[in-house]
Amino acid sequence: MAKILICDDERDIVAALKIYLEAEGYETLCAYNGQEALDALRRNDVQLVLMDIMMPVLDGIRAMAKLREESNVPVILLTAKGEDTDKVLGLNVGADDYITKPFNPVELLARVRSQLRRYLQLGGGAARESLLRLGGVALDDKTKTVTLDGEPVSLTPREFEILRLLMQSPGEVFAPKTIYRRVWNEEPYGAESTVAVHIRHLREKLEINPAEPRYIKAVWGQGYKFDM
Amino acid sequence: MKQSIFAKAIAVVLLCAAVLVFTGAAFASYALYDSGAYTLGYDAAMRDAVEGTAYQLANEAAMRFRDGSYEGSAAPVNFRCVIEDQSGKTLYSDYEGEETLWDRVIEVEPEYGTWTYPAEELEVTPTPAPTGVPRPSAAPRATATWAYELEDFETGERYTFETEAERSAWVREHSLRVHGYVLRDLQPGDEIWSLLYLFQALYGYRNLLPWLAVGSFGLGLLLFAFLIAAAGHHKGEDAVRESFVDKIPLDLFTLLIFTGQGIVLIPLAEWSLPRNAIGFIVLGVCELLVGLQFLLWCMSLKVRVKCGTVWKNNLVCKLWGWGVRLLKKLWALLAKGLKALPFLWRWVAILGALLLFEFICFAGDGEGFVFVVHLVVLCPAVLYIVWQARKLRLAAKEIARGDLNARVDTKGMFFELREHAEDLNAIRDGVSAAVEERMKSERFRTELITNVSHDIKTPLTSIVSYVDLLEKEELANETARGYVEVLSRQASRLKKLIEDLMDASKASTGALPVKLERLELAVLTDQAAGEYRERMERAGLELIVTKPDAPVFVLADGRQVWRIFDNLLGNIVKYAQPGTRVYLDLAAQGGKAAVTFRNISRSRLNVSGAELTERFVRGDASRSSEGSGLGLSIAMSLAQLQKGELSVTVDGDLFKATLTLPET
Repeated sequence: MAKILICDDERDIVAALKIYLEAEGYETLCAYNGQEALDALRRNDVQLVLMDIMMPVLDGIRAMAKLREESNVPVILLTAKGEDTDKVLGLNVGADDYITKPFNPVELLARVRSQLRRYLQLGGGAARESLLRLGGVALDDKTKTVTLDGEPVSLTPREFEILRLLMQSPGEVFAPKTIYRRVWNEEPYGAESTVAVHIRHLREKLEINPAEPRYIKAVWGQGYKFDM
Repeated sequence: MKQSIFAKAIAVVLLCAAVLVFTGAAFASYALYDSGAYTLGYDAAMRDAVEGTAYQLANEAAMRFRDGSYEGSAAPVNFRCVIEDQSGKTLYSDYEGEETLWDRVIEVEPEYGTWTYPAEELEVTPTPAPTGVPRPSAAPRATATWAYELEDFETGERYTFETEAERSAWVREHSLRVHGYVLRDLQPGDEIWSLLYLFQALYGYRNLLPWLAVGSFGLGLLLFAFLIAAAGHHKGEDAVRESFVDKIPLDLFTLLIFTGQGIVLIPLAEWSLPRNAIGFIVLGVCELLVGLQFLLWCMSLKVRVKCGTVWKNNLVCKLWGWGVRLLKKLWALLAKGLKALPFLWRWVAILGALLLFEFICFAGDGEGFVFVVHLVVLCPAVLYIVWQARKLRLAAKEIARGDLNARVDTKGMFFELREHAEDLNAIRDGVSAAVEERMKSERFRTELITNVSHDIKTPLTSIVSYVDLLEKEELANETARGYVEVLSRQASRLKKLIEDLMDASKASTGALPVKLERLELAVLTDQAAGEYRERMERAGLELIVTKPDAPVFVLADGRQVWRIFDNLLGNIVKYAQPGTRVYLDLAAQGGKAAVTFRNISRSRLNVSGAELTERFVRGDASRSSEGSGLGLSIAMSLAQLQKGELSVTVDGDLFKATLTLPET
């Protein structure tokens, strides 16, 4: 079973996380600042790191940067909201995901599972031409199937088409009108909000927390994009 | 009728007729009246009518006799004369005793010129007097103070007289006596005939003619008025429109009309009563030409007045306008050229131009000294001041740009310029201190919020997590399970409350990064509506979105606008009465875009709209429902951060929130 390193200066939180993760059957290691985490990583074979940002001795961001020099183990950052800049910085330095405190245990476990699946199971999947893979989302145009971290997701044809459109040019912002024209093949006379409804469904199926999407992001006042 | 070309043509024809009738009748009436047709009776009036012409003919006869050209063929048909000298000797006669209508004797003086001088000026009698004429005495008499000189134009001789009586006597002596006769039996072919023929013809209508004149005048006036009123109206058009004639500049047009009038009228100035029918026709045509030109001018003037182009459409006005524009352009060019030059060089150019001007004007007049003083003393002084002003200018520019390290070097400055430079430096120091202070406090505030946020959230995370773990424990005690459930509920409420509190404090202190972009509000509205449509349906609400056809662009931060929408729509889902409709209207007006949210509240709102946007105020006084009471306050702060506005009004159960953002 996977080994997870939990790193937070607040011992109670570390203990609670330990309980949740062990209940799911994961092995856990504990560290209480960035330096300890780095040491523990060097000594153990760890498959996932949960790390707080604000810590004494060595904070999460700097620990993250050092860690990336020697390992590509997935890291989920634990942030208190209000550190938007830290969060962005953390992702830029090489974190794979983040969770805001106070976190919802269900969401936390879902993210842990997702990261582990990607790290352990995927990566060696046979590349097919019709396969579009971005982050944990893989879309096969031939079989019309979509998988999220290896798990199949059931989408309606419209949702599938929207996802394919967005995934074909990741980062590009598509206006609702454009999406409607390309997917419905009709002129969107006042039907633009239909697109928003479908996007919402798509998000509910693909995102762990639809309010803070990882993949399908809204650029408010402009449109939608697939981002990582 | 005003629009009908046909009606206008008829009116023009009728007007021509009326003018002709009026002038004919008025002239005839006057002529008849002048000759006494209304008072004297037919014969006397006829004689009277012919008198002027007969006199003229008698005079002409005498002249022609003198010239020796009387035998020519131009003699009038109905006029005869006998010419005598003063002694009664017949010099010429073509009268053979025919019956006459009119006869008279006229004295016709010779043609001469006469002058009067003071007597002393006259030295000698210049010419000898011809024989048979009283000779003036050669030596001036002592009593005479004036001398009268006379030149006979016929012979070219000059005479001098001492008294006026002598001169008059000479004139009388040389006059011809003409007996003029107008024959009763008139033959066509001369002025007398046409005059009397006309007279005879008109005499019978003498009482009718004045009425005819008045009537035709009235009719003419009416037609003229109609044509003026109809001018500029075209078929099927309501408004007055200019035709090509009205587009000719007014002064040019007036000049053309005047020239046209002149061409017709100048030959007519030589006119006398026509001698035959063709003459009358020519006269009438000329009159009509003059009249029609005048009519055209009046009609065009009316159109111009209606279209407001009387002043504008003038060649003079246009030339003036062009001239002014040309001058302005030249000035702008000059100003632009000067502006393009760097500060110092601009003044060098201005001074150079002034000096050149001075040199041209004064150098030749012995004022060279002034010029040299200006060149050597004044110019360097002015340029030195300008150079210092330039330093001040550059320093002020840098401070304005935000470069607070720039200092003005006060070396070599004097008087006010130095003070100004020192003041500038003082302003710079002050501003720089203030900016530093502000940045420090800003940093401090942001750090405070971040730290407080972290410090509160850390224990909260533990609470939430352990309550959750406690819930999963197999608690045997029913009461304990109840307690845990309360803990769980309140913990999640506390979590929400703290998140909102952090947002509110960040939004209201401006510690939130705002990235203003051009975004389409209609798209955002659709996106938000799409996000909430199903939640609304689940809450039993019908969402109705209206927006204008044209896209509405605003300058705002999309994420923050979404948060405002999120807060307002979230409130609606929470507080709206199920089974009612929710309206979301987008409108743009006067540089602002407004999104209006309207819904019917589920519970009674006994607070005002302004109170609702205050912190921790909720629509329900009991505060029993979920929510922190911060949503509207946050939304309002977020709107203000983006230079927008959020206003909330409550009207009975109707809740209305309007978000206004600056349009781009």
